Amino acid sequence: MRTPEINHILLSLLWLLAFPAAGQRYPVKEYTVHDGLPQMQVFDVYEDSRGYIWATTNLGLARFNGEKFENFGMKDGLFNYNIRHITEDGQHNIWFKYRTRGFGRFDGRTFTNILFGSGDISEMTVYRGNMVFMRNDSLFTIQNDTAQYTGIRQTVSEPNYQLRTEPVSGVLYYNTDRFIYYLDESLQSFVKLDSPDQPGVLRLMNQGGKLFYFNRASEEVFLLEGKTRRKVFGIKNGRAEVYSNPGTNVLFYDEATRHWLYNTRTNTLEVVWMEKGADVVTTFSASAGQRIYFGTEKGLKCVFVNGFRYFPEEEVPYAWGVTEDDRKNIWISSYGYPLQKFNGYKLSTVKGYEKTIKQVLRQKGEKPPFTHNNWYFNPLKDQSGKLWFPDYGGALTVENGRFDYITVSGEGYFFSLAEDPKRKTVIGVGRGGAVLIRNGEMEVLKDTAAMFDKRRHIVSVAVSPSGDYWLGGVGVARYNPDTRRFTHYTQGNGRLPVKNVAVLFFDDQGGLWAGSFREGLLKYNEKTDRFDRVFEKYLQDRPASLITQLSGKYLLTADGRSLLVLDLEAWYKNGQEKVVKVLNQHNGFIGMDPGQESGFKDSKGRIWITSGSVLSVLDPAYLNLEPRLLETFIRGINDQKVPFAYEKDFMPEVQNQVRIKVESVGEDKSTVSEFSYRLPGYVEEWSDWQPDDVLYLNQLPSGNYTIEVRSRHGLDEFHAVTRMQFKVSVPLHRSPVFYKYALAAGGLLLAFLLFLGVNNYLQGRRLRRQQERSADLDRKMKLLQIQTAQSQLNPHFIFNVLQTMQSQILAGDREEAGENVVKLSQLIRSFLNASVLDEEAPLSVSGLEIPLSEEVEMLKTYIEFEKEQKDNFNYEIMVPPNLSDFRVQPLLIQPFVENAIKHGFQDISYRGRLRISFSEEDDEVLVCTVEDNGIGMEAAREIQKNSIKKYKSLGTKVVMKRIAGLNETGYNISAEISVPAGGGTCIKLRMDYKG
Amino acid sequence: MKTLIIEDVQKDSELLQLLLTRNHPEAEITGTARGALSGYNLIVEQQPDLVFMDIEIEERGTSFDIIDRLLKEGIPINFEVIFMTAHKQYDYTTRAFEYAAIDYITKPIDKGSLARAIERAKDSRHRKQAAQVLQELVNILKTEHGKSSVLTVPLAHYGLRVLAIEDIKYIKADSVVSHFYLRNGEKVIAFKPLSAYRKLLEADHNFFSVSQSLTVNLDYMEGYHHKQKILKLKDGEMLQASRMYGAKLYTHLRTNNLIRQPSLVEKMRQRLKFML
Repeated sequence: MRTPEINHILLSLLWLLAFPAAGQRYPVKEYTVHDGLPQMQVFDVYEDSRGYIWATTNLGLARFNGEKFENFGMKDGLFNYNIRHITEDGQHNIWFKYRTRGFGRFDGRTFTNILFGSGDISEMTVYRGNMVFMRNDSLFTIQNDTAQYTGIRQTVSEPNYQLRTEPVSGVLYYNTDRFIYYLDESLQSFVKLDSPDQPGVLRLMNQGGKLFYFNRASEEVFLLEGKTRRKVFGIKNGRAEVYSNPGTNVLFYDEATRHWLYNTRTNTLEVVWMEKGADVVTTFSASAGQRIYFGTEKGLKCVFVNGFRYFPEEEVPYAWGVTEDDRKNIWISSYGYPLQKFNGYKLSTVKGYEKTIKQVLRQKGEKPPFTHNNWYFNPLKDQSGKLWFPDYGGALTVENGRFDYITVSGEGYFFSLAEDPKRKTVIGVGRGGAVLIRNGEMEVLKDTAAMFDKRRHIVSVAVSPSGDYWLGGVGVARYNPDTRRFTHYTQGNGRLPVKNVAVLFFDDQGGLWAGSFREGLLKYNEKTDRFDRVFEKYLQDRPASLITQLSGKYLLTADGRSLLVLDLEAWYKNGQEKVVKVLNQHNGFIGMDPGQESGFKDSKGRIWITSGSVLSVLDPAYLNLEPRLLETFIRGINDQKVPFAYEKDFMPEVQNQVRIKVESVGEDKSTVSEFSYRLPGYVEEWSDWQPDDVLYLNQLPSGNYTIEVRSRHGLDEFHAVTRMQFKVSVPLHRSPVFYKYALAAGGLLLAFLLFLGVNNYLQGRRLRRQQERSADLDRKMKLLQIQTAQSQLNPHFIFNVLQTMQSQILAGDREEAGENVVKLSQLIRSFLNASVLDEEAPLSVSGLEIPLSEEVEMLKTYIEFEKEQKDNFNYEIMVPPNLSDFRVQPLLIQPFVENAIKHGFQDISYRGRLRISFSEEDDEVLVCTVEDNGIGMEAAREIQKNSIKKYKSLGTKVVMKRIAGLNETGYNISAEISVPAGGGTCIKLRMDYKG
Repeated sequence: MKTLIIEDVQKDSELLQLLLTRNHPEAEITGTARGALSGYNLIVEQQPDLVFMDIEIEERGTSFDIIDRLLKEGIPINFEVIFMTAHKQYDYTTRAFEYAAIDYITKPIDKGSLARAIERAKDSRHRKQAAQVLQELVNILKTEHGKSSVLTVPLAHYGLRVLAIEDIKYIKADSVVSHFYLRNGEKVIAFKPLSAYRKLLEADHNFFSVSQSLTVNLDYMEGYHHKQKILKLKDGEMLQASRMYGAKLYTHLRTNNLIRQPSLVEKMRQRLKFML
């Protein structure tokens, strides 16, 4: 290293040497920690295949998408913050080298560190598809994140510095900082290519798809092609010399801290940046293209090589007017600054005109101006080659080196100038009027229109191809020099949609364009003879402060911030309003408030653009107006990073609050990126464009989605689309259909409650009915009790019995009578027991039931009584033992028995036979058969009818009624009367239950 | 056989004496009493073999008070008691007799009943049980409403068995005997038809006849499947109900809310359980 003092002296010397010749400079954009860079020292810069700019610093890794930095530190998985060389592998992973210890790899999502305990480790490069590096004297390849020795070693041990692959031929180069070698594969050894005498002077650099190296000792740059080298540039005493064109823009820095840019199209080498008085970082590389990023001690820089140059304000402070003389010198009039002349290399100040102005004014008896150099707009060169420079009071003319000054006494008619070449007339417009100057004669134009008011300015003038003069100010006036008449276009008469017009411009099709102060661009429509607003959506509430033609195809205008390239061809073809490009400080145009009416096109086709700050020159030939597709990328989903290769084999799983971070990457970013998205299969419509780089997808139901994102920039119509799959698994309460579910659940609950209510009500009703029914049952049963008693306690029968007993007592048969009393009492007890329910027993029909044995006992007693009275029959009762315990409704059989005895055997001459038998049918159906061989029903009825006695047996009638009553309470009792073969009657009583 | 008659109605007492003298001379009537106190004194004094007792007697009490006092005072009861009642109402006394397996005769007394009672009294085995039986009777009468928690059943070959009613699962009729199925799996054969217990247990306890020959303690019921007429007991035993009694049971269970129709919720829960 040189001593600092010498460095400083040299540096200032070189600074002076490097710049004067340039005059115009390349625009350079600077990024510092203010813009989001993690640290000012940028060691290496790499533009990856996606278009991201990666920068390494002492505080970690930075990724720049053209708008924003994203920084990665140890929290993201870096081993430490000191990272240096950076490159990309074949799978598009980003690799970087830690200052010591090893390498890091980043797949967009995770960092993988490949570290080594010790050893001198070189920078890495991709060689034959694998990442390779030198460790001590051996070449290693990294496979599956582990280093494998290749078997190739360097015989002489030197400190390792760089490994690079020559991109075209794939030859591996090795730089030890002292020697440069290439790998001879057939020999399996490194071959020395350059060997300067001193160490630390060699540096390999990849630029524009080629490999170069810089020899600091000789200050020469070599292009490496295969195994050969070609000297391309040299710097001798601070001056650059180009030996051969390497075919690409190259940016490199020499050890004197100058950053040199080689422009392959102009074949020139210029210093674009200089570190001022600082130690320079030790490694360096740069991206190449229309913009070249490079790292410095003071941040990340970007130089634009896209046709723009500029004069810094120190040199051209405030240019309002530019014109060119016949010798192709550019004359620049800066407001408040002497006229300047630029010969293509050098700026110089024009001298002597001030004296002329003073003289002219003095001759006219007017007061010389207070200050000079109050230059106004649109100086011009007329057909004769005379230059006209309008100023506050008049116009300075320059013809063959002679100055003259034209003025109209007391009037400021020289705000802007135009020439009518046909009539050889120069038109000056200004405060309250215009002047026509022809052959030294002046004619003042006056009118009553508002724009001719003394307090106002006519600010622009243009001559139509047909020879009319168009004046702009408060409204537009069209002057026909032949008829000397004005036609006015104002907001008042409806022919102008705006109040003020600042710029008028005829394109090469003869179309007239007008720029308003703050209401955009206008186009004159000849058919309707009025002005219409055009490109309204692009220039809303903005001035069109400059209008000029870029080429046959494009119109250039400015909105006060940026230059807009409009597609003129498309507009004329089908009225399509298309902005092809927006140019501003982000992509090379660094002027602020561009235009100031002037867009001067010089003889080389370059457009000189004045501005509120610097004077810019645009060479349209270098401006790439081809629309460039921005790359759109998804950067993360919720808080997860996504891998670079997220488009395939990546399916993050998230909840339904989805935040997708997106970004656009690409060279040409003049404004903020805007994004729109859609979810194919769910939402086919693209969303509105949004400048926010986070897409919020809320309330997504569970499922798999593909999101498609597109981005645009500067209103362009070309959108790159990226897509990513993701899976949403929603916790129920966050499901967008949760409300639906909740509603449904609520509805169900409501329905359920309603059902319960209804059920309850129905049950209540059923219960009430049951109660009613049981009350009904009660009633019926009471009735049954009465019926039972009534059916049995036939007073006639009792009286008969009592009569019998009386006769027995009278006959002295006291014992017999006593027995009969007991029998009668038992019978009555049975009747009563059968018909009267116990108070404490539960009230039920079956509560009335008695065992069949008791019923049979009762029957026996009864029959015995009857026999006492009239013993003309025999009887038998047959009860199978298993039925003796059967429960039956009492006294159902007795009436039939009574019938048989009373009627069947009433008047028989033979001995009657009564047979009562019980049997069980299928499921506990008791069948009782009362069979007699009496006279039969018909005969009995006949006798009954004719009998005077009219014995009235209520028995059967009442019992049938009772059976009907019982049947209502669940029994199914039926009586079947038949006549047996031998005569008589057979009653079959079937006691069933409805089940 | 020393026989005492404790009867407050003079005519009835005389009629019984007449019947006994005429038909059962072996029953030597050694004394009559009209009230509880005199009856007690008579028994203590005479130490009879057979005592006819009307239930309602004079001197502030019933014949049960006599028994109660005898038992309390530890006076040995070596006699058979024949209770008499004028009205065969189904009241708490007659129920008590049935619980305690005590025979009684109703007035007016018929020869047949009297003969059977005398016959039983002659059997010394009966007399030996008398104290036990009477003790049971008194116990039952002292319970509220005469609802006994025990049931005394005569066994097939004499002897009595006192069953806790809560232990009885069900009773099965087998013509003149009944089979008691107990909780512990034991089967007791009572020498009485089911009809002797049916009404009693259905009235005082939670028993229900599910067929002509089967009366079940519903406390043991787990569930009833009406369609199949199957009664399921808590221990898993299945009993078949008859059509008629099944229908009665079903009505009974539903009216008394003893059986719940599976509610919709339960049905759903079951369905859910199935689904899960």
